[in-house]
Amino acid sequence: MNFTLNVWRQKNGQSSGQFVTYQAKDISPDASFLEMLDVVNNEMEAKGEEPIAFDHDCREGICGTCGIAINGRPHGPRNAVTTCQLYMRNFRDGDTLTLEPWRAQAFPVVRDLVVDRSAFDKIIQAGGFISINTGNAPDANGLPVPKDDAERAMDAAACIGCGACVAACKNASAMLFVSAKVSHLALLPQGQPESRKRVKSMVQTMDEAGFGNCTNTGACEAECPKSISLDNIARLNREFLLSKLFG
Amino acid sequence: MATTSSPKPSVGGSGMNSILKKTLVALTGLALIGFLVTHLAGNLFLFGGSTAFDGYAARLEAMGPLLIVAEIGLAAIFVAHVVMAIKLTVENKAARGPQGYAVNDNQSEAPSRFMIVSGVLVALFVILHVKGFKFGPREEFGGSLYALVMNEFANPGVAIFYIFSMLILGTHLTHGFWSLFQTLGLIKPEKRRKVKQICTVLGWGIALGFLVLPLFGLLSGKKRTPLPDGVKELIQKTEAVR
Amino acid sequence: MQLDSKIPPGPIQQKWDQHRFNMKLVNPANKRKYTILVVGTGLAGASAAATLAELGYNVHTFCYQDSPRRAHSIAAQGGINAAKNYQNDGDSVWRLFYDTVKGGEWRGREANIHRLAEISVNIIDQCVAQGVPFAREYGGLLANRSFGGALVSRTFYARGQTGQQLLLGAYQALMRQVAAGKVKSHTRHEMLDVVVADGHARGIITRDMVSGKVERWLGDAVLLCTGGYGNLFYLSTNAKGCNVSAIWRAYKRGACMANPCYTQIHPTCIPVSGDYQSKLTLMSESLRNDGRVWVPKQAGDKRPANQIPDAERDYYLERKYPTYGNLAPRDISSRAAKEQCDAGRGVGPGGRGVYLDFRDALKTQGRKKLEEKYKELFEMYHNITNEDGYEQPMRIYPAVHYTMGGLWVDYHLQSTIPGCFVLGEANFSDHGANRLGASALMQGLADGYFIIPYTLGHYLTSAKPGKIDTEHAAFKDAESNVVGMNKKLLSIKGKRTVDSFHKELGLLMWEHCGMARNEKGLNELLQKVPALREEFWQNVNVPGSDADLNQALERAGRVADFLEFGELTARDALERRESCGGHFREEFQTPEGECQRDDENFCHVAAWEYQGEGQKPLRNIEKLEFEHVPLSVRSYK
Repeated sequence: MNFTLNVWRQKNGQSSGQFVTYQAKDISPDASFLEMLDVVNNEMEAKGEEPIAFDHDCREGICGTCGIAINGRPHGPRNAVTTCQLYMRNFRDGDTLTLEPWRAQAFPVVRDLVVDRSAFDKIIQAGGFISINTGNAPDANGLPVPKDDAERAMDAAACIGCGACVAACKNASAMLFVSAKVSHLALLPQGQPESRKRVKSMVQTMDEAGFGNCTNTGACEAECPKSISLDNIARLNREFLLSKLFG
Repeated sequence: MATTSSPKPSVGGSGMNSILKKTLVALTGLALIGFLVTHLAGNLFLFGGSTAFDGYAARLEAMGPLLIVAEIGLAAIFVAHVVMAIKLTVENKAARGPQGYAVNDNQSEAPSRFMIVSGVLVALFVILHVKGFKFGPREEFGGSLYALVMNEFANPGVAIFYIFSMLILGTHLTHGFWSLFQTLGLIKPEKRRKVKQICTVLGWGIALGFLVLPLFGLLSGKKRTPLPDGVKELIQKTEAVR
Repeated sequence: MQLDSKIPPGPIQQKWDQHRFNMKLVNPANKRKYTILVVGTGLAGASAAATLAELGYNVHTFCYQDSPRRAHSIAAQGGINAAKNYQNDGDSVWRLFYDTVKGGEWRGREANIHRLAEISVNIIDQCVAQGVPFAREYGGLLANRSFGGALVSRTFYARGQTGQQLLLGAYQALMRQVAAGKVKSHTRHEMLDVVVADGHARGIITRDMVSGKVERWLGDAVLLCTGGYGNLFYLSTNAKGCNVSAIWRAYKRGACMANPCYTQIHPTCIPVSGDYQSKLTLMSESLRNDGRVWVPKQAGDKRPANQIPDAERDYYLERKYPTYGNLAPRDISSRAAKEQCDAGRGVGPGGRGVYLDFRDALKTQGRKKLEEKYKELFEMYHNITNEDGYEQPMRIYPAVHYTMGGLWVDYHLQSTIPGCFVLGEANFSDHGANRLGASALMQGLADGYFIIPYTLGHYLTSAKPGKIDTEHAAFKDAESNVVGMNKKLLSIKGKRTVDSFHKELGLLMWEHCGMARNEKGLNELLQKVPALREEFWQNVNVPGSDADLNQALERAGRVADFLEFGELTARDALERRESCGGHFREEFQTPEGECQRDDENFCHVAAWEYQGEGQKPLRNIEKLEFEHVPLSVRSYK
């Protein structure tokens, strides 16, 4: 298969970028999207040109490192997969593909398709944890957790922190990410003691990081590679308003 | 990687937290929906002819200062809703950063993306609507609001403008109605889809309810009926109160 | 070098307890005076960094990823073992200890393994308290499942994402300490050298992968938690960024490298589909509960699988291992698949694959039942291969998955460089020659949460290295070493890409030092790998500069190290003239084709000591004693 790639090239965070066109030739339909980029990069490297920088690591859809907006969709045209789990057979031979980095004020471009998502770490630092020092834990079965709660907590905890929600949202809002962590911890009894403080602090940090306001458009849920539900945002809103009213 | 992070404008820096801002939009939106429902209920008197409609108008106006207070309150809510929504929109545009997408294939439902557009159109409509009816040339029709309204609607241009505006209102409500439950965190997770469906039906119900009125006026043609006697008395009483 | 394992005296059940009492403690008020450098933020690194910070130490963490949460521990699917005996099925610390020693074919250290089994129960408590959403029963208590190599149900799991959830727990604990100001997290920082000053590890040199800045970091101890080296084989189930560089550069500064030849090959991975392939994906072994493994009897049979009649299929695992059948252990199934493919009976593109057929399970159980058990796996298979596992057999092939070898450490997890500790997969310690399923997560967290906080304190109070600063000659030397290497890589401007060297090295290693090894092939490697390395330094093309984000340069440095490390691995495999676990030497097998251990000559750890550029490394030996789990044959017939 052959593809024309319009790739955003930007030397670093200070410089401005532009689109550069490349040809990807003789690509196997069984190659993954990132393997297709590997092929293009290898050809460039052999000629001494600087390869297209893109983030990736596990290439099995769990580490959350990769993320390219492909033809205007974070992680490309298929639902519920990361960029690394996208295969070239998902495209048509001869397609023109536009590759852009996540676009958000809070995710400045580092180079080409690589962005800085450290704002997510800052949000977790603000309270996305349960305060327990190593060695303090009671017996694991000392506190039963209803199976349904554990399952819903797990649904929320499945977030891989890739940032596709922010990239997809027309407001560049991080609410789905924040709500997934707030929900995960709020649904478990272990997370209860700090729940009020946690939600206020995480939301404040989210706002300060420059993410937009959620307007419930649902683009985040549609693009989330782990299908994290908007329900978490409702839960976050409720937790937040309760913490403001009573906490 | 502080080295590469440029200073970021802070959404939270505007003094109000993002969720509180949304909450304000949601609560004012809820109030406006409440108003729409009562307004629609009253407007349905239009089908009852001049007696019913002008009678309703007169009874309303008989409330005197109470009505004025309510109207000011309503206007304040409306302005708060609009101002906050514009503020959110400006912040949200900034949150995209210096460079937008060259290609964008957003997967959200269209009404949710164009709330500011539908909102501005509805606001323009409201201004024209209030100007045309509340402050309209009622005296030209012998004081009959019914006659004023029916005559306006008989004008195809006006009727189509009204119908178009109500369709816009419909899309605005489709998203706005369910969205406020989400923002206020009132939905149980497993009920979200259901709430969304109900809100869509109700939202369109309100918009279509309003939409029938200009349609009714358009189809009925011009009617310059004098005010029925009973209504005349009511109006006189109202003026006496004032 | 005399290797001192520092195994404490006393009965094995009391060694760790007693030793914790005997070790010196750091005065709480003094802890803040110590700076600890933690490299790698996977389960071992994040748990160690968080715990040390909670105790009051100043901690710096470094990772090459853009966030500590992305370390490859995140990809572990199956679960984590703990001797909780919640199922009342006869589990105990002793049984976990026993299973682990046996599973590792008596090539691990008894005292370490017993300590690991003891600590396993604390790990589960800790993780649950952190909010790790483990699977639960309807009564609200924790659920367990059984896993390979054990007759009890002791594996705790969070869907197929156990590693992710455990890592997020440790990461969140780490972030809490960052917020408290006790940890400074340095992301997109790659460690490129260890600084050894006056005989102690006193710092590291890193490269800021965004700005290219090479920096010196001074500390009182260095913790290497940098994972395994499976990417030596280019294709593996490891993340693309996984590398040997941190431990390799520590090796070149004096840390011994132990048993690099022990590599775990996982039997149920999706086969290679073409030369563009960048990594291999593992599918849970549980598929072998219902899938039957076969190849066509006729070599080169090109008919679609469904058109090959039963009489012309060879269900070779069922034939060779009638008792265990398709559930034969990892190493054995892997080798059997290789054997079939070597004989030309492999299936799929390239002929490196065997069928895993669900036809009979579909007949007896129905599709619905299979979907309940394996839906996600079938979907994943379909997504990657575009083949429907319900319609035609899946194709599987073994792939490199985990490395039991690593830097040699003593009972304190300290390498042969004083002050340089090694945790998790990066060290060699607890799994012997073969790791049991669901034990990697356990070891990483045991090292980080519960072992290093004690042993590090003991080192800090007893070692007392003198005061130095980053102007010390050792820092300057290490920095110029790093800068020089990068400059050199950038200046070659040859004709071949970094990846082409890595692929060639990987193929060589896989061919001659993969599932089966022999003297001839290993000797060939000892010729070919140095030759390839030579070519690399003449003919590689690394574009760009070292002053900004340069992924080609990052890869080049790692591949340069693999090209050296590959040679050592081959040497280790050559010198270990026996077969055990992940190391199968064709010359040493039983008549049935199983591992033939040589306990008389090789019941030891081989710890290689660097002797300088171009010099043959020294093979040191740590003798292994088995007092509690007597040496015997590991049979699965």
